[in-house]
This record gives sequence, structure tokens and C-alpha cells, in this order.
Amino acid sequence: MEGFLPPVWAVVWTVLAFPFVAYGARRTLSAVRTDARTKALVAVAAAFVFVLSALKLPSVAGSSSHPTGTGLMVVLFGPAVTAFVSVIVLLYQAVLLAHGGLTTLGANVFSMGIVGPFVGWVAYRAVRPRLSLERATFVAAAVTDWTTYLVTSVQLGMAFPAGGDPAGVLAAALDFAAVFTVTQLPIGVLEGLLAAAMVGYLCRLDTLDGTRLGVAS
Amino acid sequence: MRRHLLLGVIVALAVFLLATAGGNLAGTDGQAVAEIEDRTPAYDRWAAPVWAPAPTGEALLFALQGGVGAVLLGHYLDRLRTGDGDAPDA
Repeated sequence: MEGFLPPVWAVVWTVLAFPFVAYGARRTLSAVRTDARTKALVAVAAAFVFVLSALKLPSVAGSSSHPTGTGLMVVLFGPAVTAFVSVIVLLYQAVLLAHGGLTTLGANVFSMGIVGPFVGWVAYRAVRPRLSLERATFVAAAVTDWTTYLVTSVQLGMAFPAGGDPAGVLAAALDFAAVFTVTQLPIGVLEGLLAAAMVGYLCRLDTLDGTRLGVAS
Repeated sequence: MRRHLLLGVIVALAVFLLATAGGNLAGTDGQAVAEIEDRTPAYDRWAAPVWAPAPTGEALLFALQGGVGAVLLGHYLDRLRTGDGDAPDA
């Protein structure tokens, strides 16, 4: 996608993303410094993002796409830490793989690192009182994935509107969403299952204190 | 450590196979670019990657990303499992 987001939007999304990432970097550093167990958990969640976002999964309709892998991190440490970690992953893919891109980094961080995780986190907090940790994690990860691509669609709709008014933006956003939806729906479900399995495993290791989840310590 | 390396190799291989097997599948990012070009045929791409790997190279680099991630995942899960997570860093 390098160069396909008009310069003005590249600047807008980068500027908007910056404070969240800076705050996330601070939260990540303080989490890593808390104790060795928390540090190991941060590393596990970050490695989980690395592995999942490396997968190029074939999906229905003969197309392929990537999971975001951020759901686990959202549940364990909240959206701020996720914003910082997603910058690292997106930078690696932009620089080494020419995947995503540096001019689209701000927009991608905004969708994959900020809005997606934040909405997933809100969903997690909303369902957690009624669902088990695993099920709530499934919801968080699936919602995070779907929201990420929905935000991408809106960003593209704003950059390439069908007309000058908000309706034109909406119409274009829906067109872009149509590109992602069929592919991303099952991938979001898969992400939910993997994140839930990982949280379940961490619980069995007796490393999680279920009451303190969803916030960066 | 050897177990983690083995895990990393297995994951890397799986990522590579998935990426190459799905090579003829259109990525959604490419489809989105097509949608952009469809809407604004006159759009002039204003930046391009300085360097881009060939498809096999791309699959290899994704495999590297997945493999390294899996090694780290195994390593830190081990720390949590053995309780070494509470010990000072080695």
C-alpha cells in the first residue's frame, strides 16, 4: 500500500497516532519494569502478535489476509501497550517486507494499534462480567480484528470518497469494507479461538490473576 | 532452548508453506489497491518501497517473523512455567 494513501492523510493519521504510541511506550516500559513475571507476560503477548501477524491465511472467496494477533495483548495489558507493540510489528513489515508501508504506518497504527484494540478492550470489559475469561478473550480478539479492518475501510473511504459529502465517504467506506469483510470474518473467529486458547493456557500455568486483566500494570 | 528452536523452525515452515501455497490468492491489501485504482484512475502513487522482496523472499521473511516470534513465545512461556519469571533476568 506504500504511496497509496494521499500525503495529507498520511500526515493526519501519523499525528493522531503519535500521542497514543508515546503513552503506550511509557506504559510498556513501566509494565516491563514491574517484575520479571509481568515482563515475561509482555514478551509472550508481543511474540503472539509477531507470530499471528506473520500468517498469511487463505480465506473464503479465494483471497488471503493477515490476523492482527493483538487480542491477547488487549486482554492482558489493555490498548495502550498494544499501540506500542503494533508499531514495532508494522515497522518490521514495512521496512523488511515492503508490506503495509512507511507512508501508511500512521494509518495502520491507528487502525491495528489504537482503535481496533480499544474497541476490543471495551467489548472485553462489557462481556467479562457475564462470560468466562476464555470466552471474553474470544470476543475481545474477534472484535479487535474486525474493528481493525473496519477502521481501515473508513480511512480508505475518507481518502477516496465517492463524493464530497459524508454520504460519499460512507459509500466508499462500505465499498472498501466489502473487500475485507468476507476474508476477515473467519480470520477474526480464528484469532478469537487462538487468543482464548493462549489465555486458557496461561491460566493453567497459574500466572494470571484474573482480576487484574485488561489494564497495564 | 533446542525445543524452542525446533518450535521456531516448525512455525517458520508452516508460515512459509501457507504464504507460498496461498500465493495465487489475492491478498485483501492488493484488492484494496485495485479498488483505489478503480475509483481514481488518475491517482498517482506518490511513494514506493525502496526495496521489495520477491514473492519467495517475502514468504521467507514472513517465516522469519513467525519463527522468531515462536522462539520468543516458547522461551518466555517456559520462564512463566518454571517460575523463573520471578528470578532476575539472566
